[in-house]
Amino acid sequence: MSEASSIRSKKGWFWLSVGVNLGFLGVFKYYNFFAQSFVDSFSHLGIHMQLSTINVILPVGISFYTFHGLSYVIDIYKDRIKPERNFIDYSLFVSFFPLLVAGPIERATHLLPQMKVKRYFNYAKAIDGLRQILWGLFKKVVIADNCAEYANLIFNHSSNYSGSTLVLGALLFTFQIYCDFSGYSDIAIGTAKLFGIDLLRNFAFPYFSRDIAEFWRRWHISLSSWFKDYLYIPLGGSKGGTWMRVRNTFIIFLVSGFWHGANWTFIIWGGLNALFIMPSIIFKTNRSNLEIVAKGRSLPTPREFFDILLTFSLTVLAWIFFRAASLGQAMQIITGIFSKDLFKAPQTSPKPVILLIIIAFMIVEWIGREGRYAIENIGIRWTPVLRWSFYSFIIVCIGMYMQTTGSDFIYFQF
Amino acid sequence: MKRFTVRLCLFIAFASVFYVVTILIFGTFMPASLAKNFDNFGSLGFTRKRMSEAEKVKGVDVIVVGSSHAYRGYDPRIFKKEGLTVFNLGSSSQSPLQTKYLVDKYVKNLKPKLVIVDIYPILFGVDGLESQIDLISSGLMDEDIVKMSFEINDIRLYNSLIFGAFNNAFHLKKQKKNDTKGDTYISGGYVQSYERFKPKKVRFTQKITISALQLGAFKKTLAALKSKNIKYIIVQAPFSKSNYNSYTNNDEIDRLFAGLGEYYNFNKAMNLPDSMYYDDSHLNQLGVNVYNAKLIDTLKKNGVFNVVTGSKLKDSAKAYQASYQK
Repeated sequence: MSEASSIRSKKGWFWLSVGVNLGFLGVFKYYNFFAQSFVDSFSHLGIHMQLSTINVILPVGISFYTFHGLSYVIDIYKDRIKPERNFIDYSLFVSFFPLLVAGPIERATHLLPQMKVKRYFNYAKAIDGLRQILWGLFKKVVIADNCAEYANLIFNHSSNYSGSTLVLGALLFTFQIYCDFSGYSDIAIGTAKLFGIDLLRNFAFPYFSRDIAEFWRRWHISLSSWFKDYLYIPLGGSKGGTWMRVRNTFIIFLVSGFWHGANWTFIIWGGLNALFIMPSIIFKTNRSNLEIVAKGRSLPTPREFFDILLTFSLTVLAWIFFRAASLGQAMQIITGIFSKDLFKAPQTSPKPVILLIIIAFMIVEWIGREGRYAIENIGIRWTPVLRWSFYSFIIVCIGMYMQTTGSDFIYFQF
Repeated sequence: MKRFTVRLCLFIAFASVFYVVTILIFGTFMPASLAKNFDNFGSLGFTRKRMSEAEKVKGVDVIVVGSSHAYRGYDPRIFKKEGLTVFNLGSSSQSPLQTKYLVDKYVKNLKPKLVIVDIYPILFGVDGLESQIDLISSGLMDEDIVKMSFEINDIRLYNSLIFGAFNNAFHLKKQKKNDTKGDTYISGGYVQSYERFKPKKVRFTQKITISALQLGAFKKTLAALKSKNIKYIIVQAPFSKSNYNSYTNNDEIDRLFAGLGEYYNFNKAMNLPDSMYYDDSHLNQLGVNVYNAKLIDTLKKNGVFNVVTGSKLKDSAKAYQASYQK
């Protein structure tokens, strides 16, 4: 592509590369969805068709390494980087093991140069990596897996449960998905640090966001910024009029939903988030909360607290669609929530000690929100014995409260 | 790199000590409800008492191994009337892994002529964790227990092992689940209860699954007994009809165990009312009186007790076995 003799030829190679990358994703991940939707739409018209679907196991992490590959191709096309001639370096960039299955989605401009230089062991970076791995592990095995046990129970039998139980289920899933995915990201980023590699940050305390726009700057950052750089801006970004901004916002959220999986629940989840963010897009307030909330203070102002609570509630509502097996189930859950038994005690819930741990976890996240991960700066100025005791206490919590039946990381399926 | 390695090793040592100390504090002072992966420590069903009695007994005619069905189902006083000494080595949720351990450990001392291997088939599908914690809580701590714990591989076991080791040495105040009210320990390992079953919930049907690991351990136990020339019989003590009928593959289970040795399923041979059960799974004393009488009668008729006197199995026993293998 970079050696193409004409612009036309360069474009040809570019679209061929993009087509090949997306082709694999399309065949493995979306063929069945489109085929089935095609058959279903004709069956509504009374025409019964039969299409064979592909019965293959979805390659783990295909959405992630497809996007790695795409960023490489696009950056070469845009002359941001030079093509990599060393096959080993390129292979390492695409398949670097910590991020292969669930990100963060790296950019060639960020990761490839790190692969090319000679690396030296960095004590401070390695220690920082271990600390981040520890926190990620805690989030996954203690918070996410314990929440998963009850979230799965409630979502899998949602029609049997009262409004308050369904709210609890949605809340538990909200914590589950955050701790599951950000826990994985922390482990991946921490592991990479042991090898002297810096990966992109993926989460920045999203549940302390004051509006949905801020939430999306803090949630799955590597994907959001990927869509912004490679889709939103090429579509015109915010440069056009209001209509253009609205259209582009809807496009990236719907595509983001579809990226997660070939299911209408993900598309509605994306659409719902687009709706939530729309007021700030129309009134151009989407960049009004760029700073860390309550920076330098211990507590938020009442206004900030209310904004956080509102944003969190909207997020919980959207997660119901993300988690539900079908649109019908999502609607049944939402209808069930707003029923007369909303204020009765939940029919099932985790042990009180687990609820206490979730609260303690959120307090630690709040205290550490100015770092790149919650415990990055906690205890840095303490005496070594006190600091080691703190890390050891986290290990004890893992041993004492981890969910022993465990489960895969949610984002492995994408 | 050297600095990193040294500091990491120091931290691992520090964290290990910290972990052990915290487990000891939790186990000694904190309520069990605050320790999710350490809330089962404390023996159930008088296992500690039973095992310490087993250490002292030298030579019995019959031992019974198995789950709580064993220690709640075979009354040594009833067998004594027949001139047979019985010791019950049952323990809560005892899976074949633990049965093998207990047989290996106690057969030498107890020198039984007959072993009644009581089976509760659903326990052939479990990992053995609950029973393993019960044994550790009861003070059993040796190389085999540690080895078996690593085979089961669960953090709850490791926590129990840490606390159990210190508890044995220093007799710390241990977390203990109270034994059920109304239970009385009877010398010989038996637990007597006159509580009555009050049926409440409807049981959903389910299929009994057999894990290869548990079945393997079970076969090894039988082989070990055989190699020592100790006669064994496999027995399924009765449990409530609603419980028994909830399993969809009882016949398949019968065929499996009949293929492994002399097998008696008293769920098919008896039809006891709910009032003879302690709960939907265990007999109460009224039920035990009836069941043990029937068991002794059946074993007598089939010549099983003759092993004590040296006679051979009667033809009637062979016919009894054939009925399961059909």
